[in-house]
This record gives sequence, C-alpha cells and structure tokens, in this order.
Amino acid sequence: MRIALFATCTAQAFRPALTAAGQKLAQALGLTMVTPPQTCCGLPAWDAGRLEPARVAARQFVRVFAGYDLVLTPSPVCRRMVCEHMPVLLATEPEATAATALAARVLTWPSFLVAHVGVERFEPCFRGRIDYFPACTGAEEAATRLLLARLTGDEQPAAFRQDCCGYGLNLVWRYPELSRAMAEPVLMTLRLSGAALVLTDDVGCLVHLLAQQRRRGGPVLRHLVEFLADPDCCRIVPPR
Amino acid sequence: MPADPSTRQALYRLGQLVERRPPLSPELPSAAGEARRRVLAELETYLHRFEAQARAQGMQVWRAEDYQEADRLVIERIRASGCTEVLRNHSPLFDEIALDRAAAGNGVELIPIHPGDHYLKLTGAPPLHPIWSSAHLGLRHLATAMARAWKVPPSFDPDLLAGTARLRLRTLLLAAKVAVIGVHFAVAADGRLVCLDNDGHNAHLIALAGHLICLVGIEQVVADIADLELLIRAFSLGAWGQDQAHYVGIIAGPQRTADGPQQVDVILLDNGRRRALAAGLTAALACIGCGACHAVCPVYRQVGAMAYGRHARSGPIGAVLNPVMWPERRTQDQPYLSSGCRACATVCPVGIDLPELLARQRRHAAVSASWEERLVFWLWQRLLPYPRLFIPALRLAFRLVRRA
Amino acid sequence: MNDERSPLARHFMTVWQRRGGRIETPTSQAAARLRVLLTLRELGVREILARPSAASLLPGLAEALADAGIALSQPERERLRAELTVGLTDAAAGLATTGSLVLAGPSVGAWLPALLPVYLIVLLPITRLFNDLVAWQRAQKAEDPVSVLIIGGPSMSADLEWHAHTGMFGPRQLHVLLLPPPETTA
Repeated sequence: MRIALFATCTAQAFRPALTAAGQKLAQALGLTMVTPPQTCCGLPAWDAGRLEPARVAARQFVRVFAGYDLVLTPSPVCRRMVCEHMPVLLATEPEATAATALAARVLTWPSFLVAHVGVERFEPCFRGRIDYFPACTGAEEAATRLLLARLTGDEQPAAFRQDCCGYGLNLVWRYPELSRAMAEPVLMTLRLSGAALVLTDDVGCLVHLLAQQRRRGGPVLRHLVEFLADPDCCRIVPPR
Repeated sequence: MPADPSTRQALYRLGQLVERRPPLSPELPSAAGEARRRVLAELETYLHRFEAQARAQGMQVWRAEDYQEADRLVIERIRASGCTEVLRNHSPLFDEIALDRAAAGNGVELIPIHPGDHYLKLTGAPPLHPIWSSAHLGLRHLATAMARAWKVPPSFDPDLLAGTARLRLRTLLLAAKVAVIGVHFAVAADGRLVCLDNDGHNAHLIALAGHLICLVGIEQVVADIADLELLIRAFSLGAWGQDQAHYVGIIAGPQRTADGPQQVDVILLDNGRRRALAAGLTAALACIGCGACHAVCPVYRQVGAMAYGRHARSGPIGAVLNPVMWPERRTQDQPYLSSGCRACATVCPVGIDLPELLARQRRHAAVSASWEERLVFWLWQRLLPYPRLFIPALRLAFRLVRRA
Repeated sequence: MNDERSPLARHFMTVWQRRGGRIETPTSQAAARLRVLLTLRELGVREILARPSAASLLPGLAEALADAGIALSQPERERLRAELTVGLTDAAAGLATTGSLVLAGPSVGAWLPALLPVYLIVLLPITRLFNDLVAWQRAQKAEDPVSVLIIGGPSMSADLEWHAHTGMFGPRQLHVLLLPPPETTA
C-alpha cells in the first residue's frame, strides 16, 4: 500500500515538527509513507470565493497525490476541502474522475488509525490530565473520540467545544483583530480547565492558538499526532 | 472590530444557552423548509391570495417598495388616527426601516411595549439580537436609567426592576389606542396575521389597541394553517428552544364588537426582498428570523449585531442577505464574516444551508475584490508549484498580517 | 376516563405538566364547581375577572360564586378592572400535540380575563380536545376567520440579564380544569 502524507501548507510553514512527527509515527507503525513535495490544497482561495486559483491548486493536488492508495492529513478542515469541494471544483475538468476517486482515499490520522491500525496499539504513558480541543470541522469524527478515549482512559473525554478558535485563513487575513479576539474565550477555557496537556486534531487550530497563547501561558498544546509519535507520551505496541 | 465586553459576554452566554438545547429532530428542518420553499417559489401568487383574503375580512393593505415608503405609510396611518403616542411590539422590521427615528422626526412617539425593547429605549442602546434584544444591558446601567426615567428609587434587584417595568408597561397597555405590530407570519389561505412571544405583549396589544398597523415582510407569507403550525414550532424551537411559544396571537380583520381592534392596516414590505429572490437567494429568504444561527456563530459573538449595520440583518443570515438586499450600504464584505466553522449548519429550524450560501456570496463578492486581494491571489497561484518559495512566502505573509 | 378522546387528554396533560402547568380532572361537573370555589377561597379573592361564556359552562357556578360572596366582573374596556388578580376563562380548544389552549371568538376583548390577571383558571371541556390547530380548525363550521389566541404557558420574560421573570404581562400561573362531558354527570 502506497501511503502519502498530505502535510498541509500550514504545518510546513508554521509547525514543521508536526510533519516530522507524522513521518515518525508511520515509521513506528511499520508503514512506508512518503511526503511528496507539495504546497496547498486551495482552501484559502475557495474560502475567499476565488474559484480559479482554487482550481489551479486542486489540479496540482490531484497531480501530486493521485498515485497513492492512501493520503493522510493532520487537518480535517483541509480534508473537507479535498473530499467535498474539490470534486465539485474539478467536475468539468479532465481531472474530474481522478479527483472523485482521490476524495475517498484521503483520511485524517484518527480515522486511519482507528480503521487500519487499531487503537489497542497505543499505550499512553503521559501522566497528567489531557483535554481535547476539536476542530470545528472534525468535531463530529467518531474516530477521534475513540482514539482519545483510549489515550485518556476516559469513555467520554472532556472536549471544549464552545467556539471556533478563529483560524480561518480568510478571517486571519481580512480581520486579524477579530480572529485574535475569537481565540480569547477558547484560551481562557483551556487555562481554567486545569489540564496539563490539550490535544487538538487540526493543525490550523493548533498554530493559531499557539500564536495567541505565546503571550499568556496555559496548558501545553499539541497535535494528536505529535502526542502519538512522542515515546514519552505514548508507547506503540506490536499488533497482537 | 470586536464589540464591547458586555455585549460579548451576553452573546457568549446566549450561545451557551442555545448549545445546551437538544438537537432538532431531522424531520422538522426539512418539513419546515419545504413549507417556506412552497411559498417562495410562487411568492406573487401567495401574496395576492393573502391580500385578497385580508381585504375580504376588512383589513386595508398597502405595499411598500422600500423603507422610506414603509415609514411614510406607517406614519400616515398613525396621523390618520390622530394619536401621537403609539405602542409597538418587538420586531427586527422596525430596525430595518428605522421606524423609531422616522416617527420621532414626525412628532410621533413610538413606545416599545416589549420589555427588552423598552429597556433599549430607556438606555439608548442598540439591540443585541433579533429575539434577545436587551440581554447586554448591565443591570446597574439599566436600573439607573429606569430610576431616572420613571422617578422611582433605584434598585438592583432584577425581580423588583421587572415588576416596576411590568406596572409601567401595563399602564401604557391599558390606555392603548394605536399599535404598530411587526408580525412573524401572514397566512395566505385566510388573510390572518400571526405574532409569537413568551411574555404575551403581542396578545395584549391585539386585545387592547383599537387600531393595529401591521408590518409584514413579503417573504413572511405562509400558505395555510398546517404550514403555520409547523413554522410556529420551528420558530419557537429556534428562538427559545421550546416546542411552542407561550403566546401566539392570530389577528383577523377588524372586530364587529365594540372591544378589540376596529381597524387593521397591513403594510407589505419589499425593501430588497424581491432583489434577493431575483438574485437566486430564495433559500436565504426562507429565514423566519428566530436568531438561532446568530447565537451559535462565533464571529457574531465577537462583533455583535451592529457590525452588520444598524438597519441591516445580523448574524450569518445577515452576512448572506445584506449585500444583495442593501448593496448601497457597504455590505459587500459581510460574507467574509465567517471562519468557515459550520456551527450554523445544523441549528437552523427551517434547514437553511448557511455555509453553502456564505460560500456562494463570497464567490459573488470576489468578482469586485480590491486590487490588493487580486494581487495576493495572483502571487499565491504563481507560487503554488514551488514549495521552496511558497512555504517561506506564506510564513512571511502571516508575519506581516500579525504585525498589522 | 372511558371517553374515546382520553388518549388525547392524557397527552395534553403530560405536555402541560411537563411545562410546569397545573391541571386537574374533576370527575363530575359538581366536583369541578367545587374545585373552582375552593381555589378562589384559597386565593382569598372577592372579585374575579371572568369571561361571560366561562360561567355558563358549569351550570350553577354563577350562583355558587354569588353565595360565596365572589363577584364576577366582566371585561369591558371602559371600566377595565386591571387590578383584579384572578381570571376565569373557558378555552375554545385544547391542543394535545403542543399542550396549549386556544381562545377564539368574535371579540378579542374576551381574551382579557385570560391576559390581565396574575392567576388564571381555565375551564376546558374534555370534548374540546384536539390533536392540533389544523384538527381544531377543520372541526369549525365554515365561518369568517376569527382572531385566535394560543396559550402555551405562563407569561415569561428574560430580558433583564437573563433573569427569568414570570408574569411579565399575563398570568404567572395557569390552572386548567379538564371538565368531563355533561352526560357522565347525570
């Protein structure tokens, strides 16, 4: 099975450690995964209502990833772009069939791990309370909940879900002040939660919250994949 | 850009209230949405039917193309009654047509009988939300305003304050002669008008005022009683999380007995609605104004209603409709007041797909984007094939934005 | 309750009570009459605001009230007695699905006994229960459309920093008496 990492431009630019963690996790699980040279899926352009640039990005995305059986991403928001908007964007293009087929093969890490690896292979060894800040788009992903239940030992892990943290490339770029203000209530809740570690499933939220948190302190924020790939936090046991 | 702290706090609290509600049963939004689409698909037919039925029971019906005409018609009707103090209910339509201001300019005082709106009038504050208009007024601020306006000793006990307001409002109601009422629905099949609330102020106005001047947005027509019943449920769930508003007043034509309204005037307001229909926004005009999408929208919770314009709609639905209904008011950028979080996707009781509509409106806004934006995306597109340039450029762009 | 409408009655009662409303089912008209009298005595009032049609629903009620020294005041705009704290009204219908009461008639002034007092007693004959508004409307004789008031609960307001205040305009408490059909009272 040929697996590729759809690293996302956000992670490449602002959280290279997450890309490295993804590669490390794949290695630890005994998977061969490549990270092809890539840039952006086109979500910022699609979000801005600019279909032509979004289409250019979509075509490039299909070219880069069409040859793989499985594409993993640390961002449910970017996945939504690929799976929902891309087939529509490219519907009348030569890449239409390839885009539709590819949409079914792009998975977020938690869905992949739950479906193809099994949560029992992860044995958390982190001491301290873990909380979870789900991305708006990924909030309903049952796989993330399953994985998290395993990691926290909690049937229903505490999730913070009052608000969007304000990361949306269009918002950051058009209304930076607003985007910053939206992170405030989220950070406040995280600070008051008393958790030692907060995991999130989207790189966008992670980067945005970290940038806002820099001045204020609070619990450690990490991406789920970074947690799984860190031997100090989580051990990976061989399949039974 | 973000609103003042007390507004944000009130909106945050409202959001918590709404998020704690049980999810809507999936049948309701589709059935209620169907009821709305049925009418909007043949709006002119249903409007004519409503007009004919309303006239048949003795109502007088006018049409207003824009807000100035609506203001003029309302004030003319009030003038004809010879009254200078007129009561009104709570409706976002009054803000839309700036009626309070227009009436004051013509020597007519419009007194809101809805407690929240009355508090707003006392303090001079703008409304917070289409249903919860006054939740952002601090208790102390309000208590001071009440004490000053009503010459009562100040008190910070909410029950005492509400009790004082109750007495004032009842006195006004018992002397009611003319009432301006923004209605929630107009029934095409029998020409009746419908108002919903939990406190009963609409029922009191209908029962006590002798002359009703009713304001209806043309999109608020519903086909018949069966659809009305469905939409009452949808509205009640969206606005209050209850399956039935505590008071629903259904107004028929003038009364033949000595008590109750002797005259019922109806003003059908267009003010950009037909423009929205013509622009393909039928799905958005299905909105019944319950304010559920406002309550869950994290952007709205930060910026508040006024960011969308004092006389425009607010929240995600406003961001969709305002640019088309009132393009002259610099509303073009409003579809971008969204982080794409999709919180509004599941709460609409008439099943409006707001994320899709916002995306659609952005595609329209993109056509007339600034040259800076065009340049940014031109560059972005040019750099796409080159990861070694694209990634550092992205980093640089963010650094610039953050510093701004 | 072997009435064919009793599932409706049960449903109505469940929904009404779930919303915190008070509802009683006197077994005979005499019992209903007594219930009204006792409630009024408990409330300690000498005069109530009554809808004219309400007293005629329970034969002998007007006389019993007169004997007890309780006056029935009727809503007329000119001498409206807004300070009366107890109201008595009948309902044109009870809607089981939403647990709500329907007031209808040629005169909206007749709604006032249901709107102005703080405590409202509603007489609802069990024969007037319907599934929903559509079912009630269908059962009406074809007449001109009339004004209708649907009441689903007490008058509530939360406009002061979310403080819930009951009885803002209308009643704080609604007390429904589900009246048995006349034939069972022989």
